[in-house]
Amino acid sequence: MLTFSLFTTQIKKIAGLRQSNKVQEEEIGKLKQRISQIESFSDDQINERISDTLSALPRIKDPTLAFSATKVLAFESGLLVEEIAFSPGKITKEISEMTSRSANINEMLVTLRVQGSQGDILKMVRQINQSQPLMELKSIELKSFPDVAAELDINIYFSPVIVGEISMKTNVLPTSEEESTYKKIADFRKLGSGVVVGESKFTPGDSTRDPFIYGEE
Amino acid sequence: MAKIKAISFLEEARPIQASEKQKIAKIRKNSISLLLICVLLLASVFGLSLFLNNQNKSLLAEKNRLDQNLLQLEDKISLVLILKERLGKIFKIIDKRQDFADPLDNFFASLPSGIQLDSVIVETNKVKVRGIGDIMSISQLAQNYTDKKGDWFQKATLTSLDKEKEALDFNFGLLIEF
Repeated sequence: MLTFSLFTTQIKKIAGLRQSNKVQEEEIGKLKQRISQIESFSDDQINERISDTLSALPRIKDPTLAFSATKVLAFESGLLVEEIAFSPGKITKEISEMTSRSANINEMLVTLRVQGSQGDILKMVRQINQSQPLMELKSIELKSFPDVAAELDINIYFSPVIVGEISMKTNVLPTSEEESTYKKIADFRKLGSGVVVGESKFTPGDSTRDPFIYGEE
Repeated sequence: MAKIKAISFLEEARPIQASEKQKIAKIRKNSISLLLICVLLLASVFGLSLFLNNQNKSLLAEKNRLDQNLLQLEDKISLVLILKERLGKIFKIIDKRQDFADPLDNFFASLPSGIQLDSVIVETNKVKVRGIGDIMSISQLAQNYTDKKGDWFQKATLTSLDKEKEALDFNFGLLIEF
């Protein structure tokens, strides 16, 4: 009886240990994979990518950047800028409002009136989708041909940096979609200058640091 | 006097028969075998248990070591994850925006020479055109959008065509959906 009891106890223990070891081995495998994934990125590579993504999608609404980027866009296309109009939105210090919107992509509408040839306007329209910061042409109206006067409504995108809301369980390796997105923006021309241009580190939105926090209109 | 049967303990033992001897030897042998099997089985079970226990300890130690390594890389992980999250946002923006250059280019390429444009407005999925021209040129323009159906545009509609009594040319409106 004693032998049988000892035997069954040990068998149960073995089954438990086998199960536990299997789980541990799986976890170790995942940890090793994660570590090798992270170590495959060099610090320089990460810094370069951060700089490119922040240049494409700046973390704060920066009117200086919006103004200078659209102006450079027009000048480089050989167009004469007649007017640049935009409203950055209300200036606010309401931090809670800012936090609740932190996951959103903000946009600033810039209206640009330019004059030039049809070819130069086409050149500018083409450049809009190949430039940093990210812009989107919402509409374009061409008038008074052949010396064309054009009015363009362009959205410029901004998004605050989110820290602490990302799951640490997410796969660290970039997906093919992320890789191709990065390749695209890395090839885009960097336009304009502003408060946050050239940043190479992620700084979370901070009302006490950022010059202004522009709310939604 | 009745005869009393005496039992003597000093009497010599009855000799065991050969078959009985064999039986006892067999039982003894079987018992020893069973005992040996039990001992072996228990030893192997204990051995396996010990081995698995040691393996478990070393796996736990390895996991702790890797956890520590991962902890040292925490800052790097955060950066990579924020980078991925940002690339996701960028993808959404790039994916939803439209290219207006090709529709504009295509429209100007198929514009007959006798047409004078008043305005061309390009918005999401449509080009709105207003202009003046002689009836032949307007007809040619309309023809271009009938012949090339299914090319860069989905649908083209001549929204208006009017002429003032004394004017030579027609005013027209054209809506091209792409």
